[in-house]
Amino acid sequence: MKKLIFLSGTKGGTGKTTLALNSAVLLAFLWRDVAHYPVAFLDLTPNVGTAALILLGDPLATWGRPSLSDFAGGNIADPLRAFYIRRWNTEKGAFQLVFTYMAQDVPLTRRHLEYVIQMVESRLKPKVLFFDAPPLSAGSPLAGLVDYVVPVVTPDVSAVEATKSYVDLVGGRRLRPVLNMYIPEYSISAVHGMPWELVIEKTLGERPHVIPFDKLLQAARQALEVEVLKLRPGESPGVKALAEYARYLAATVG
Amino acid sequence: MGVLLNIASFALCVLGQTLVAASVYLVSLALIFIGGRGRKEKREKKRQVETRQEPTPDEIKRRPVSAPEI
Ligand SMILES: Nc1ncnc2c1ncn2[C@@H]1O[C@H](COP(=O)(O)OP(=O)(O)OP(=O)(O)O)[C@@H](O)[C@H]1O
Ligand SMILES: [Mg+2]
Repeated sequence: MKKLIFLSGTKGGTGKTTLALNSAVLLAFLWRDVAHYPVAFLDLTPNVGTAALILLGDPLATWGRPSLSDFAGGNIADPLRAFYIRRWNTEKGAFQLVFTYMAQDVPLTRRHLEYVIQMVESRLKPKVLFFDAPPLSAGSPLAGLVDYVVPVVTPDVSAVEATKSYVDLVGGRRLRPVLNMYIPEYSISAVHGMPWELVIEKTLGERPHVIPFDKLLQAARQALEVEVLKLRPGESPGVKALAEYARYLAATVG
Repeated sequence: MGVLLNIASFALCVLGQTLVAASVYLVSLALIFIGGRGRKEKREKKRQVETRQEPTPDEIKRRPVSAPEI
């Protein structure tokens, strides 16, 4: 089981959740015949993160169900009781993903996390485990627990700086960075006097994968839907670029 | 075209050809009216095409799930 996180350090709103959830769904679809639970998803955002809300499919669905907060608070001993299955039926067959989330703002210690990871690996046996976390700073319990880190930046000096400072925070191998919300008309950074793609290459050591700004991604988010399951690459350049990145992940992590 | 005829009708009026001027004036009014309506229809059609290209959040919500292309 490989563990992967999209990270922007202390910077929020760069598209980490969009990337994590869509990549997770795409890999779950791609590997639907390879494993029973090809992909597991841990939404570590306190008070129910967006990814969990989308996967649950109903904002009221959190009522009365155990979540990882109950494990962290000592209400349940087996963290797998806080995991749920989301299944989709498509014209090319059914596929599924297992996920969990934090219903309250109870701190999840490093020891808790290690135990959860161990249980997921031994009993669910996914090929990959995605973490989705709010902006992270020093002292994150995830440090040393991930295998792969994807730096995510937007064309924004502070996003690039925050990501650069914290990209090694959780350890793991660094994968190709993502430049999200890119606007081709504003390709040059006015501050650096060079193209954003080059700024990222210089800062993070590798040419980024570019995901254009696409308001359809925001429309799908407003509908609380998984972008790649509702929008076609032909109509949404954002979805097209998300699928390209998932193909790269499948080849690198799988 | 309508506007040109309108100006012409005033010119004819100044030249004393009031009867001709009046008929040219009426024709110009009709042309201006028809032209304006045509443009408005064209604009509305364009707006419809735009909304059909870009689904709204509500339309996305109601779409069925389809196999992702990867
Ligand atoms: N390429 C894009 N074009 C347009 N909007 C985008 C793009 N990528 C993400 N968004 C939108 O930006 C907003 C923030 O995205 P998202 O929630 O994925 O960011 P995040 O990094 O997880 O945020 P947080 O730090 O709060 O966890 C969402 O409304 C999302 O739809
Ligand atoms: Mg997020």
